[in-house]
Amino acid sequence: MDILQLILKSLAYGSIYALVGLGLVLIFRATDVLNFGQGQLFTMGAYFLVTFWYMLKIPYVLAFLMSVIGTALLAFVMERVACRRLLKAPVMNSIIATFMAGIVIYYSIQLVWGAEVFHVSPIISNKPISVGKILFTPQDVWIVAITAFFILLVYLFLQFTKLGIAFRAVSMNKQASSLMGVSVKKVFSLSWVMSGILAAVAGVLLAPVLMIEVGMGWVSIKGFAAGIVGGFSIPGTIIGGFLLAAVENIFGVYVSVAFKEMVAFLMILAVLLIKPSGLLGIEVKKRV
Amino acid sequence: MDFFRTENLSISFGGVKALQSLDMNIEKGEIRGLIGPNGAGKTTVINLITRVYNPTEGAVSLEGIDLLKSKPHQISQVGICRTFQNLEIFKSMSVLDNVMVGRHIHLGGSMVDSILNLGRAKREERKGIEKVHEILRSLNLDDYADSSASSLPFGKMRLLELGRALASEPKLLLLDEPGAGMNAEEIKALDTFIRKMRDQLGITILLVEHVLSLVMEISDQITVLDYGVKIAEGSAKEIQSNPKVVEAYLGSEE
Amino acid sequence: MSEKITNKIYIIGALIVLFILPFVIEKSYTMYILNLVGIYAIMTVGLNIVLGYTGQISIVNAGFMGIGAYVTALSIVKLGIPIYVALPMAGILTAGIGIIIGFPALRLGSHYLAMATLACNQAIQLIMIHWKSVTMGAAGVSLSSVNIGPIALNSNHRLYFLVIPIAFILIYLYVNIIKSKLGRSLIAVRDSEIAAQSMGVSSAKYKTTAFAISGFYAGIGGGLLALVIGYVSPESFGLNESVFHLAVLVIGGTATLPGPILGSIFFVVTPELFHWMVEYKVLVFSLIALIFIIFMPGGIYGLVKSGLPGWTFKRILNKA
Repeated sequence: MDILQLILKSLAYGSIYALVGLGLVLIFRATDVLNFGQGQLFTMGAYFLVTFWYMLKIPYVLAFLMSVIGTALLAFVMERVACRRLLKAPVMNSIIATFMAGIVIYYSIQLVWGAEVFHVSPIISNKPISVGKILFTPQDVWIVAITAFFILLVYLFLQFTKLGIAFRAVSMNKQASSLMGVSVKKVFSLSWVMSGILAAVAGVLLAPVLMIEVGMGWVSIKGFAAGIVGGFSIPGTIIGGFLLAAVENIFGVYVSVAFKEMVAFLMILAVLLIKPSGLLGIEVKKRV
Repeated sequence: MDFFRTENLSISFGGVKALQSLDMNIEKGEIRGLIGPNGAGKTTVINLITRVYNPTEGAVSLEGIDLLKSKPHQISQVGICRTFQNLEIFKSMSVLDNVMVGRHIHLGGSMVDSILNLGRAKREERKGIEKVHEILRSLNLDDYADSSASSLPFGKMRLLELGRALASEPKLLLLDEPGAGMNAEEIKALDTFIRKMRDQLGITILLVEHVLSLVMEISDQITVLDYGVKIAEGSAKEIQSNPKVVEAYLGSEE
Repeated sequence: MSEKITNKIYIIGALIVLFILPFVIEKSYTMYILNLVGIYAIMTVGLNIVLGYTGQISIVNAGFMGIGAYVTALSIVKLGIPIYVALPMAGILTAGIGIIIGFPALRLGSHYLAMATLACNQAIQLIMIHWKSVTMGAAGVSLSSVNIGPIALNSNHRLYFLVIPIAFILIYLYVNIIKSKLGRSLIAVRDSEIAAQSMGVSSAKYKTTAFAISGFYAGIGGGLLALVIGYVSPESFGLNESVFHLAVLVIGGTATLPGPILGSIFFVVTPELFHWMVEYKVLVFSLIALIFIIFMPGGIYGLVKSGLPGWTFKRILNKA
C-alpha cells in the first residue's frame, strides 16, 4: 500500500486525535490542568449517540446535537466537581481527580449501558470510491469535513467573540486577566465545555468506525500525544493529531501491528526528551 | 592573583542585553556594594556567578579558578554562597534543618551510613547540628530552631537565609537585598552582622542592596549598574557625587 | 529523649502484635488482606519518597511494580533462581530502570514529567504484552508455590512471614531516609531547587536517587505480589494501577511519614467492606478517593493531625 494511500487512511483517526487533543489543550491552556478523564468524555459522546440515534431513533442531526450538549454538560459538572476546589492544590491532585472522575464515569457507563458492544451504522456511505489509484470513502471526507468545521468554529470563537478573547487572555496570564475584570472562573468552565463539545463530536464521528464499548477511553493517550507533539498550541495539536495517525499507519504496515500501539508513547517520549516545546509550542523554560 | 574577578561578563535574554561586558575585581576581605535602579542586572550578576545562568560572553573566576567550568551545585564547594532576593527558604522544614542544608557540603559520611544513622554520618550530623546552633545563636534565632521556617516573621526569614549561607563556610558571600523589608533597627543589626562576618570570619562580601544608607555606610567600594552596564565604581563618597549615578537613579524615577 | 523511648516502645509493641497476628487469625483470606496491605505499603512508601518528599511526579509506579513482578516470577519459573536471590535482584533491576526513567525528571517540569512517566508506564505495559518470547505476553506467568530452602510458602500464613518482615524493614529504612541528610536533601530539592543547588545539593543526583529508591521499593512490592497472587499478567500494571497508587498516597497523606501506610490500609480494606457490591467496589473506591482529594487534601493523616477524631470523640462523649 503506498504512502499516499496510507495517509488518506489515517484521516479519520487523525481527525479524532486532533479533536480530543484540542479539547485537552484548551483545558490545559486555560486552567493548567491536564484532564486525564478526557477519553471518558469522548466515550460519553459515542454512548449518547447510540442512545439517542440508535436506541431512541431520534433523527441524526438532532441526536448529534443532543449528544454534544449532554457531553458538554457532563464536562461542565466535571469541572465544577473535580477542578474548582483544586486550583490551589498541588498538580498531582488535579491529575488524580480528573482521572478518578473519569473512572467514575467509566463505571457509571457500565452500570447504565451494560458491558455489551454496540455497532452503529455509518451515516454517510462507507463504500470506497477510487480516484486513479487512490481509494477513499465518503465517510472519511465527512469526518474530516465536520472536524474542520468545528475547528474553524473554535478558531472564530477565540478570535472574534468577547468570551473567546477572554479565554486567550486567561491562557496567557491569569493574574493580569483577572485584574482586568475577566471572570477567570467563567473561562475555566468555558474551556471544559468546549473540550466536552469537541470530545463529543469526536465520539459521534468515530462511532460508526469503532466498536462502541466501555473501554474507548484509550483516545486520551492519543490526544495527549497530539498535544505534546504540537507543543500544546492549537494549530500544533491539530497537526500533531494527523501526524500521529499517519505515523501509526505507516508503522503498522511497514513494521508491525504491535509497534503501531507504541508509536504514541514513543512520540511522547521523543518530543519530551528532544524538544519539550513540541512543533509549534511555547518555550518550556524552567522558572529561575 | 585576584581574589574574585569578572571579565567582559555579558548575557542576553532573547535580544535584551541584561548585562554588558562587566569587569569587576573584588579584593579578599572586601565588602563590595552593587547598586543600581531596578532591572539594572544586579541579581543577574549573582545568577551568573552561581551558574544559574550561562553567560553569552566573558569569564568569572575565584582565586584563579574558572567558575564557568562549575555546575550550579558545585559553586558552594568552590567557596561561594548566596541569599535570594525573593527568599528561597525551605518552607516545610524547621529553622534548624534549613541551616543544616547549608551545612551539606561539610557533612561527610556515606549515603549508606546516613540512611542507617551509623558511623561517620551520625557523628558528622551531630557536629553539624552543634555548628548550626552556634550560627543560629549569633543571629538570635536559636530560640526558633525547632519552629517551622515558614512561621518566622519576615525579617527573621532573611536572617535565616543568611545563616544558611553562612553554614557553608563561604569565602565569598553574595547577598541579594538582605535588607529589603527590614525596619531601621533590623538594618542596624544587619550592618553589625555583616561587618562581623568580614572581620571575624574573613568572608568577602558582595552586597546587592536598595537600602542605600546601608550600602553607603558599609561598603569599601561600590559598583553601580544601569541597564546592564557598569556606569561607576568607587568609594561611597565618589559614587554619591557622580552625576551619572544621580541621573540613573533620578532619571528612572520619572 | 523520652520521645525516642516512647517511639521504641511503639515499635516493639507493633512488632509483637504483628508477630502474634498469624497465630491468632485463622482465616487465610484475612492473612491475604494483611499481606496485600504490606505490599501496598511498600510500594506507596517508595512513591512517597519520590513524589511526596522530592516533589517529582511519578505515574509509573505500577510499571515498576510490574517489572519487579515479572523479573521475580520469570527468574523463579524459567531460571530456577531461588526466591531470596530473585527478589533482591528484582528490586535492584527495577531501581536501575528507575534511574533511566528519572532522566526526564531532570529537565521537565511537573506537567511534562507527568506525561513522560505516564508514557513510560504504558510503554512498559506494551513491552510486557508484546515481548512474548520473554514475558509470555498477555497470557501471563503462573507461579506455583515457592520454597525457601525446605520451607514451602504455600499458604497466606506462611507468605505473611516473608512479606511483613520485609515490609517492616523497608518501612524502617524509609523513616530513616526521610530523617537523614538524604531526606533533608530531597525535601530541599522539592521546596526550592535553586536554593538547594546553591547549597551544594545536586538536584540531578537526588532526583535520580529518589527515582531509584521508588523503583527499588515498587520492584520488591511487585515481586512479593507475584508470590502472593501466584500469577503475573500485563493488565495489572497499567495506567489505572499507577493512578491508584497516587490515590493511595493522597488519601493517606502525601509527604507524611504514616500517610502511605494509612492509605494502603484504606485502599485494601475498603473494597472488602463493600464486597457485597462485587463489580462496583472500584467505583465506590474511586468516588471516595475523589471526595478525599477534593475536600481533604491532607488525607487521613491530615485529618488525624487536625484533631478531627478527637473532636468527634468529644462530641460523642458529650451526647452520651
